[in-house]
Amino acid sequence: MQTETINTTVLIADEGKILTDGEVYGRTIYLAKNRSPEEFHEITEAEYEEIQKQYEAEADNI
Amino acid sequence: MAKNNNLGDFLKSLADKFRSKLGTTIKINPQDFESKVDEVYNKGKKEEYDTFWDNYQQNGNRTNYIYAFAYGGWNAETFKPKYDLTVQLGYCENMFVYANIAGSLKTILNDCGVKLTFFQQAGREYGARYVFVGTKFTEIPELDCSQAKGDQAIASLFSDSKLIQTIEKLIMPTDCTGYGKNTFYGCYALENIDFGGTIKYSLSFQHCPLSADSVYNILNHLDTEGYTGTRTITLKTTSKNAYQGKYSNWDEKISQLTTSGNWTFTLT
Repeated sequence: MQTETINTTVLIADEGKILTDGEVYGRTIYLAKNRSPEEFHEITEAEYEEIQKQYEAEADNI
Repeated sequence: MAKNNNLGDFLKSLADKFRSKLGTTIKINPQDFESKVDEVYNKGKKEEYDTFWDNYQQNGNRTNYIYAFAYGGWNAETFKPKYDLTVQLGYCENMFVYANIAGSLKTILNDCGVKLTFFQQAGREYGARYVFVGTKFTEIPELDCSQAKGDQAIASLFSDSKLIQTIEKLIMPTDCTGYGKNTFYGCYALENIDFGGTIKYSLSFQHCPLSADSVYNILNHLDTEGYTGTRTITLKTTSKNAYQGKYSNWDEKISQLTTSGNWTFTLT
């Protein structure tokens, strides 16, 4: 994971990884002022795909 | 019809039949009979249409539209409402769920001369959830969800509507405690969206190929008052790039919003 600051803290996932705080997922995160990088961690793309499949299954059950 | 050999009586009898069916007393000449056949047919069709929709929409008084136009039996041929769709919030869930009605809902409603509006019954706090789940609409007209309440105010509102390209304007709830999830989940064709009111809670456009102007609309409708919780806007990286390509101020804009509004932005 790389971190750079442009008046805003930006988290950029390493190649093949996705960032998440357990709620939202993304390759690049522009952090709100009241949040810290420690709230986010990386998961693999495969793990992300699996989570998305679970969300799709939940959406189909509406 | 009694059989007779008098042509004149026969023609008079036909004219009487036409007058009876059309509800008129005017003189009808035999040379007009051909057009009168069409008039009778069209009048019959109209009466069937009126009978169905007067009953289905309770002469315009219906406000509970839960599952009203759901699933495959409803398509562009059958969905021709006669009265305005005045829908009570909380009684709009699954209103169009997986309907086969293809095309622009805006155009369909305009052609029928009716509008779709939501209202909140006094003392209630319901939302506008699941209204357009799995629809085949390509365009949604302006939707006023300003009166939607609760913590799931617009949850799954357009979820799995894979063909929606344009939402003319979504007027955001003014007094809810959360939007819920999946409002735009699976909207893989959504490029154009505008907003009314203020966006106060998290929204995800992770599946939406939003245009530069749509991203502009989102960013410029975000609440910028102090907020102590967490709230996130999720966009496709391609949407961010489109915005940056046209407006060239992504960093500056995000810097303002992450600071003044405590917004987090996620790019997928």
